[in-house]
Amino acid sequence: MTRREFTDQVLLPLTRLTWEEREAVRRELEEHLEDRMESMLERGWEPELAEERCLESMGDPAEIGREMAKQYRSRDQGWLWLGRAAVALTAVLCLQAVLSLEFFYTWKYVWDSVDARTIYVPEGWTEILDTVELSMALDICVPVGNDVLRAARVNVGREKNCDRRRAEVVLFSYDRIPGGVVSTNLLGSITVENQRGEQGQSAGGWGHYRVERTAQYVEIESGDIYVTLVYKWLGKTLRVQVPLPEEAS
Amino acid sequence: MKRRILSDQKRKALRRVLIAAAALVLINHFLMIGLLFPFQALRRCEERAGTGRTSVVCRERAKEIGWSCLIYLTGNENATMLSNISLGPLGWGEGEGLVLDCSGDAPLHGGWWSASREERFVLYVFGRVDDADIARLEVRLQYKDWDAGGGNAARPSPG
Amino acid sequence: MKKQTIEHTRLLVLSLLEGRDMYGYQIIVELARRSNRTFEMKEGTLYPVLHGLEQEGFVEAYRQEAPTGRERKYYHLTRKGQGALREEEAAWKRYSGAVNDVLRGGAEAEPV
Repeated sequence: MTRREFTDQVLLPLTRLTWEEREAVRRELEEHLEDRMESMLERGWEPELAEERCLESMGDPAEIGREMAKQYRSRDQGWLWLGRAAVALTAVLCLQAVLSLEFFYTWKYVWDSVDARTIYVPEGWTEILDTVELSMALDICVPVGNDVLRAARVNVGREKNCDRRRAEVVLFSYDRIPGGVVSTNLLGSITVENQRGEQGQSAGGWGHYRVERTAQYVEIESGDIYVTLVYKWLGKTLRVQVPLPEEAS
Repeated sequence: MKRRILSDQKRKALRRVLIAAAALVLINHFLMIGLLFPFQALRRCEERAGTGRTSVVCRERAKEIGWSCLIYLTGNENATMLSNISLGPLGWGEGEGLVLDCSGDAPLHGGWWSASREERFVLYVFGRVDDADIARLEVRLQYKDWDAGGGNAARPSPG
Repeated sequence: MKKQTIEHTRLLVLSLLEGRDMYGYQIIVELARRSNRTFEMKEGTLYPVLHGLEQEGFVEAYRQEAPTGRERKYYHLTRKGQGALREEEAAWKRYSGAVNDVLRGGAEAEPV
């Protein structure tokens, strides 16, 4: 019998042990044999004879295995199954993460959600105006329910073929928690008013689950110093004043 | 002297549970998948609609459009919402629903929502009655020609 | 040499571990040494005993470098194990006292 055969026989009845635990038992027995061999070789035994003697002095492997198995019979397997359930759940989640088409875009979207909180809309950026005469960066943040509304820039300019000047406000919306879901009805329920109470329009925008952006514009007259964002949804009304950039004299 | 305490099953199990819980929270929040319960998808509907917290009025299975499809009717003071939630390979998720703005003074707020799958079709008429005097609701469904479009009429009758 | 089967293996093992932490092979050697080679068991049968004690919480195991330079699985007696040791000692004393009494031909004063 070889050492391997010996330990295999011992491990055979240990069905209640995990693979790692069984290998640990094997290791312990092999280490014992290692020590026993060393002491015999020191006393001058021949290696082959020593090996035989070692295994013999260990005893009957089947009996050792049986006795060992008895010690684990009343073991509480609850923790083992809990651990296995947790591993199964983690595996399923990882599989879903890879399967979800979102996976590769998601990190960009999450980044957008973080970015939108501080993004600097560059001067000259506009959704609808053809000439931008005045522009001012803003950082007006207003909490709306679980979300945040942010006005990032206000432009004043004109559209082609149009006499009247327009004020355009660039808006972002995102959830309070980075990466969270934002309400699609937030930006959708916002209109912009000029000082005379005239309502403006939306210039379109862009959005996904976590961040939305739009531009709202309204006609203004010279001398106007602000426009008002009006939010109306489900009985809640908010009015936010947005200052217009000052004329360069 | 190197000393390594052999971990026992309890410690190993707890560590694995912790990892699973962390993976669950991260994947639920950032990837928005792997939701274990339908009410989580419902919360997401609320977030998307901007209604705030709503409470469930009733819940029905809509087997016609999906073996796991659940239609939830929920509401709070300012809104009534119908949500369509089903179980897919990526966990519980929501489809398109409908939100009714009930914050106005009207005695009745109503709406309808429908979905179809292959040759099966479901239609839900829902809403909220704010006038205590209304005891009976009459819902009339009108099916017009395909070219002219479908329509329905809901009419309250007092008394 | 005929190996004698030992009763009370658990008592002997617990008692050895009270002195210091040991690994399996060490226990076998120490057992033989202390008992002047009276107790020389089939070495493999020690391990079920050790694992049984570990499952019951009487000993704790850890891996550490042995004097030989290699890493071995050491066993350490826990508080619970010390209690069990006391109990087994008491039981042994009762048993051996009774045997002595019978051999001496009758119950005398209780062994102290």
